[in-house]
Amino acid sequence: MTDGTGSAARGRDTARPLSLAVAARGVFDLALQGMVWSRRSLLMAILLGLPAAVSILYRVVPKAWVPSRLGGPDLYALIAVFYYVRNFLPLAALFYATALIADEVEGRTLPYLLTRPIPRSAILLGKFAAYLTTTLTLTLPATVVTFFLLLTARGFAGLGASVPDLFRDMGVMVLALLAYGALFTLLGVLLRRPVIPGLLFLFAWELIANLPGYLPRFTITVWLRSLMTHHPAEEGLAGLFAQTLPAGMCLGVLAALIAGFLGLSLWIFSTREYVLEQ
Amino acid sequence: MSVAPLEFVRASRWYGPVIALNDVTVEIPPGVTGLLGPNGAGKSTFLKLAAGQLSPSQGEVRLLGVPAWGSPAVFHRVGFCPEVDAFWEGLTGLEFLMILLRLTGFDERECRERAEKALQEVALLDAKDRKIGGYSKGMRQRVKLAQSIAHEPELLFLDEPVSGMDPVNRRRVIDLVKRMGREGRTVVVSSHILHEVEAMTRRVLLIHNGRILAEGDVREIRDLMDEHPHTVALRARDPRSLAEAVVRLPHVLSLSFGPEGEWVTVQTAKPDEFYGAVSGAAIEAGVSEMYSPDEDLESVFKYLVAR
Amino acid sequence: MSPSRRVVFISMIVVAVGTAAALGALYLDPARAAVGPLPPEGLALPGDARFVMGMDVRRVTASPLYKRYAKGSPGQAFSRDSAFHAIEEKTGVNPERDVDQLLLVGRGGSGVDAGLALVLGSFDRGKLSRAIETEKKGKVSWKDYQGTTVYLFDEGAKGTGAVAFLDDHSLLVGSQSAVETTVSNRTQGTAGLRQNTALVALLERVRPGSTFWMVGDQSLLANLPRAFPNPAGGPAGSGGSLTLPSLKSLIVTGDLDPVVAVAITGETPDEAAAKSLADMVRGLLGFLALQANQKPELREFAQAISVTTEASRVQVNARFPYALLDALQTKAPATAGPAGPAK
Repeated sequence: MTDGTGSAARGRDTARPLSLAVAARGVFDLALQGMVWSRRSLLMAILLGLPAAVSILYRVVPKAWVPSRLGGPDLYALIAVFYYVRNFLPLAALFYATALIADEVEGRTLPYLLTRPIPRSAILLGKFAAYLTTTLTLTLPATVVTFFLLLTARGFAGLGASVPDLFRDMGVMVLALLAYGALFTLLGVLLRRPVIPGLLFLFAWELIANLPGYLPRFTITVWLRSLMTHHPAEEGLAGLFAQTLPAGMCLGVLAALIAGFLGLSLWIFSTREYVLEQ
Repeated sequence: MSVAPLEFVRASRWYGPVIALNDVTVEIPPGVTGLLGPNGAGKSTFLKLAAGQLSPSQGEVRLLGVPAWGSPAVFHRVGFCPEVDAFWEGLTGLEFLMILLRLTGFDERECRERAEKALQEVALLDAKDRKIGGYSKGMRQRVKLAQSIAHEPELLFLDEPVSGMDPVNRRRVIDLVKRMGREGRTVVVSSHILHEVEAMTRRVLLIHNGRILAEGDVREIRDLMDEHPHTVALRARDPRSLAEAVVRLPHVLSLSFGPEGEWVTVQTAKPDEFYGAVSGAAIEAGVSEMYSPDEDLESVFKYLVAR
Repeated sequence: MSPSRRVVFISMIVVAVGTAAALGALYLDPARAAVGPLPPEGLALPGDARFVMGMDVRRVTASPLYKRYAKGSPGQAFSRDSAFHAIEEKTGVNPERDVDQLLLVGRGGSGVDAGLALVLGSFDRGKLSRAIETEKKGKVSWKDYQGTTVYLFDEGAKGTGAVAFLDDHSLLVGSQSAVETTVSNRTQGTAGLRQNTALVALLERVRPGSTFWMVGDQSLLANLPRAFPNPAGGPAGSGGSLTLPSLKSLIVTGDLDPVVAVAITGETPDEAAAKSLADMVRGLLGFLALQANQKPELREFAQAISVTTEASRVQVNARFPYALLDALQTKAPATAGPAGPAK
């Protein structure tokens, strides 16, 4: 115990802040608890788990009710590409990542964290890790369940051949959550109201991916789409100019985007003052 | 030469055109220092600068010899109790303290020990496993104080620490602050209520419109106040008998009845003596409510600034 | 463990179990083969092949395509069913029931010598052998070749055909030289098709489990025609024809259930050629779509085809629902009913 001067209590190094990893881990534990048991997560659980419910429905309804062109593998491809990677994972990233710091500011709990001997960047990193963990917790099991329900709808033949697709799809989902999460984290630390610009990005800017030429490379979705092997027929005219970029280039660009957005977010948060309303 | 725990060197802070703190130079020594000022005087800005939440627009603010802004390591030795009533409501009192202690570098076992000790100090040990969302206002205030002292900091900044507390817990907190001062810690307590600060310390800083008006012994302030008439309003079942008892007191300057005949408004030159003298009559007359519009220092400061 | 960590832990358990199941399926999947979709027996095929085609006959006969179009008109169905019946009576083999896979290999040259077929399935070897021996009296001979009986048709003539059983489940049909080469590869354990590294590389890119597939390398594609008429006319001086960029390799895969799905991957010499080829195909599709005024189904047909490029590779994916194919088929004129009473 200290003698009242507070220094060097039980081997604690009071001359330095906690290491980034230890501090981020502590913030992660705090943030995870708040994220997993939130109304936001309940809504996301419903949205991200919906494909599993649809898959169960697909298996139990009489075949006569299901359009003959919609086989199990086709439905899985649609879900993986359209539902998850193009729509709901980016939306999940938007609603979680823009709120990483905003929640603490609006809840006025940020001072508790800022008056700890931890690097400021640890706060954002810990919260980002909690966001990633929460969204993957909601997404990956649903993906796995959906895969098995739909791919075995006509028996087990050919299942093994599709397994690499499952792993690839899960990898792309992780990358999607990382990339969009990093971008929206940056928006969250830059702007007071980041949700509208985020929505504009997702539903306006990302449409550029459907244009010919080099312009699609300025979106995130074109790099993610290129890593997936599914090309659902429902792409229609939107897929007319679809480009498939080399996998190595896609991974490199996505890694650079994630590192860039996250790095910028950390720097801005570390140097910014937060004046909370009393 | 030893370094003052807290130093402001020509520190100013402004938000756009609004100057919240203006060219403040002060050294806070070990012990308890009261920071007195009306609402909007700059107390919270002063404490936020001291606690490294804000950087000075000009000048320096130093904590234990290092700049307060951008020195996270110093928070091993600094505790901050903010004014705002805000928590992670889903956490229990114990979880709240343990998480913050973990972020201060303590191991699991020590986190629990310190958390329970701090909760005991503020009489919340029995409620440690209840969610903060279910705490009363006074309990919330106490758990906020507990997180600021759990790691036994050398410096402690308390922004309105007894706000919303009942008299028993208010007394407990005042005693805690005084004890910490006697232990040699540096405690800065901000308030707009003079007699609260007076109960904790004799050393005060007066702040008004972002400037330090005065620093020194609280008795000098008290003497100034004693020249200023103090208004007290009382609501009673039998206002007439209360008025009869009150009007006989030597330092009562004037008396009037309020709307609906339930209120009695008294002007007194010596509020502390008045409070002591009126208690018996208040019980007999059935006083159910009592407040003083002069309890905060706004009117006192206007008076002092005008002098 | 805190409740939130418990939720994360449970989620990870579900993912881990799913991953383990997926890995198990990958290991146990019967569609896995020696090289890509090629069964082990196929490795004995001649190494000088220019292309290899494969068909999962069971999937084909179970597909809606077979059920709709193989039946043909009532008159034809009668002849197909009766033909299969006759074959089964003679040989004990019902092509719809007993044949699992069909592999076709194309070599250089022309005529019988150009091709070889490997039929995999369940055969009554004795009955089938007797049927071969007795079918064309005087024209069938047989000999023992490295321990395997090889049946020869018109021995000594140019383009002698041959049939041989590699084992109870594998039947070779082709030219004498091709059949003997395959038998020799099998009995002596020589490399056969595996030594054709170009084709093996292409085979490994074909997904096992496809209903039908084809791979061809440059030696095949160099001989294919590259100019064909441009349905849109084309620019002046082009003679109204389109010239395709040369292809270095071609992979075709397809499925027939629940839609007719075909994926064609062509490797061109460089990225510019790939873009040029892709643009040509897109142009043709656009032209088709323009014909929609006369036949609206053509627009849907064009839209069911997507063309993408990846470096020097062009990929064409097509998915045709059966309803669309039905609509595209020219309807047969209705047969005239009995003459009505004279007016």
